Amino acid sequence: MDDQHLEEIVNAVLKELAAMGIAPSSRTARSAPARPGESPPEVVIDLGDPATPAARGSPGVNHPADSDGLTALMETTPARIGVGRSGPRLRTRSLLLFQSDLAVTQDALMRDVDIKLLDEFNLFRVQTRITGGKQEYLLRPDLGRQLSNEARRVVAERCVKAPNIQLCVGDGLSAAAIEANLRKIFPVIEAGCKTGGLSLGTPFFIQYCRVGVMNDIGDLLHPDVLILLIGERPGLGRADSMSAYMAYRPKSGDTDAERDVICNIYDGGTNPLEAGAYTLQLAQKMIRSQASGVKLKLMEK
Amino acid sequence: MDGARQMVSVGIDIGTTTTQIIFSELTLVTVARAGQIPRLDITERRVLHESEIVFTPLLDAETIDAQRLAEFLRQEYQRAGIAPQQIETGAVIITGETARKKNADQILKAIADLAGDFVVTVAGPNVEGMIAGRGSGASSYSRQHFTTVTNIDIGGGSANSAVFRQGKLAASAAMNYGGRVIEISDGMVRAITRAGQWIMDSAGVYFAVGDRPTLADLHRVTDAMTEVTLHLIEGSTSPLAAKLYQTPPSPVSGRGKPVMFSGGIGYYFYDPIPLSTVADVSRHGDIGPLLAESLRDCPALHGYTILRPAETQRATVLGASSQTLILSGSTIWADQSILPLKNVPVIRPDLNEKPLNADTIAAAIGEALRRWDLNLDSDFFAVSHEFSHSLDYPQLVQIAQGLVNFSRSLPASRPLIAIIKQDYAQALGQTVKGLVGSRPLLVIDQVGLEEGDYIDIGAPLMDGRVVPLVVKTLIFYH
Ligand code: B12
Repeated sequence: MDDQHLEEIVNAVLKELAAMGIAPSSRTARSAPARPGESPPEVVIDLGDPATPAARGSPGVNHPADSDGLTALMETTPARIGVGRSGPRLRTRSLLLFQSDLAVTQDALMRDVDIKLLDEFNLFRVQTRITGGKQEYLLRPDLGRQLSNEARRVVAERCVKAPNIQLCVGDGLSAAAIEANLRKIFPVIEAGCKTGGLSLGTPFFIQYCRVGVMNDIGDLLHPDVLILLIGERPGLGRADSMSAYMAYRPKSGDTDAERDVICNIYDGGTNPLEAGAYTLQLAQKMIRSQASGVKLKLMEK
Repeated sequence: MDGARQMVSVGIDIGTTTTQIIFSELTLVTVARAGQIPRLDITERRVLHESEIVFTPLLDAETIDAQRLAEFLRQEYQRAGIAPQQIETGAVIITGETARKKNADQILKAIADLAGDFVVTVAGPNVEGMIAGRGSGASSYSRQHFTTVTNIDIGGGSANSAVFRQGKLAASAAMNYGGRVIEISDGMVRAITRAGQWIMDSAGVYFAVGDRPTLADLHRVTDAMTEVTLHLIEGSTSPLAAKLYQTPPSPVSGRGKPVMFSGGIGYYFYDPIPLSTVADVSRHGDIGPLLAESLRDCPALHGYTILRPAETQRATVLGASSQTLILSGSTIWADQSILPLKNVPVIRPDLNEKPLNADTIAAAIGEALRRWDLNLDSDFFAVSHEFSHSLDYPQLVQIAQGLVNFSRSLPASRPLIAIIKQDYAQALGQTVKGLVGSRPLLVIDQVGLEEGDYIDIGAPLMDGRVVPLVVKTLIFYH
């Protein structure tokens, strides 16, 4: 639905309301967008920033029976508990926090990963079969699971074949996650390969990336283990979380049952330095067992 | 997932008045967390056998009879059907006045073969309070109820407070009084400890060994003890309290928060007996039951929520047997060949407000090591540190390089042992390993340690990804 269409609907509703004798209240009118020529209305929000850690942690319930207990309970979860309410509604603070968190989420999802970061690690960039930007990326996961023809050519041309470890980075559902964690996890994996005597292939970046693209990469490069660092679907206000999806000798036809994932990689979940070292340990185990995913789990039993 | 694994653990509490022993079975289970790194958890603590509570055998007022003590313990092993070799972990805790008795070392020697390889000796007022509070259930109550609980453990000769906030120890303190500051039998005073005399002086009560005190006199003594107990709870002090404190007053006041009483006094606090004569009071040869009554009648305590703990008399011994084992984080770096290790002293380099670069770090570790009189050719030691913020990769490398630079001052075969609070052990271990060559390396995390702690590190569990540890302090009272 485009903006013009929306505006038409809104106007139609307003007209109907006016016909019924219900006029928008003066308060609504005051905060309405300024018309050309008018100066913008002054919006005064007499509230501190609700998104600071201190504000998030402070209870919104008036006169709690056990305020220490309530604070402690709130500390155990990022869920919005103990926020209180105003009559039957959200407090202004909760509403603003919700909107601000949602904006963080949407930004992370719609934005591209900073090219400077990719250059820092000499990651060349290829694309999946998505051509219509993020909008199409969201609507067509199937296309996000296949490398474009151009990408296949470039990858085949530029990458070392059959390494022990192939490392790839994909935007996935959060550019912010890659930006927050790559500088920390990448060098740990690189150094760990050296320490562990594992050959590391030529790393690259995939735009509009889905997890399923691992099969195409496997077909082209035949690594023992493919590690795909990819942005996780952001949670409300938490967009920094990255996953490492891993597979032993991935190939076309493989499903998620052949893969493993280490999720929640960020400072606050599993920190990216430690996750890097753990990822390599898991990779070594995959090589030893010649398996990943469900098969690896069954071998442990 | 790996199956569950059981460990037999022993707790031995040698108190001023009584001695007890408990055998527990700890169940360690690998907990898979969806998408996250699996972790090892102690999921069950089951008591296998608990001894009678016996009087600590004494040769005289100052000396414990180590031989008879060992004899009692040996008997209990037999009753429990447990051989010392089966014991994998646990703790011997020598509390209060007893630890001051001249022959603490001798006691440890006498029971060494019973305590198994990995049983540690703990003592020190802060450790005592913490172990009692974990054993009484105060710690888990505070966690389950998202609250703050003060546990007051009063035995024969020592009173310990421990404040737990959501399961974590927030503060502790200790005083040296208990039910046995005055010993009475057949209505006659048999002994008065130094602390007992102070309390009597402060209460304005005068009697001496050989006298027959009245119930009212004894009441005034236990009322004065109740007053200092309030100071112990609230982290405050008085002229008498100041004499009795063995630590600074608790930095966290328990005022207005729930309180639990454990120890022998805790027992009589919740299950009082009628006390109408001096004979009633002195049924155990001391004034313990009367102290419990004074506490029950104390008006200031009526304003408190007093909770009944799961354990009273057995809190300390239960804590020693089931709550002293801790587990490292589940991403570590361990050259298994050097484990297990016993009695490793912990050094803490002072890195506060210093830049995290390799030279500073290496120098700070060397500096900290000099504070100890260690023979670097034979003694192990562990370097412990906490970072106040999350690390980035260049910082990780500097820390690793700092450790490596420092290790060059050690003989080539000496292991490098680093213990950190935050979850960076595997990344740090991998980085150090890349720089340090063949030197054995142990890096573990999620354990906070203080300078002066000693640790035992057990053989790795869960595919080598976790090590069990016991932290102990060997600092006795002096
Ligand atoms: C969205 C999601 C799903 C969606 C995926 C929808 C889709 N087709 O896109 C649905 C609801 C189907 C799903 C199902 C499952 N999921 Co899921 N899922 C997630 C979630 C919330 C976000 C994933 C994400 O952002 N991916 C990144 C984008 C870019 O990838 P994508 O290509 O668009 O989508 C693929 C991946 O999401 C992948 N995927 C999703 N879940 C899982 C689980 C495993 C083990 C693997 C290998 C792959 C995988 O499947 C998608 C298709 O290939 C994560 C939570 C998190 N913190 O990451 C959990 C998470 C990854 N899922 C998890 C689990 C356990 C499962 C299930 C096994 C649950 C079950 N018992 O059936 C199934 C397996 C599904 C499968 N693909 O085989 C766990 C993984 C734990 C682990 N390491 O073993 C996670 C971490 C959640 C958690 N904390 O419990 N999941």
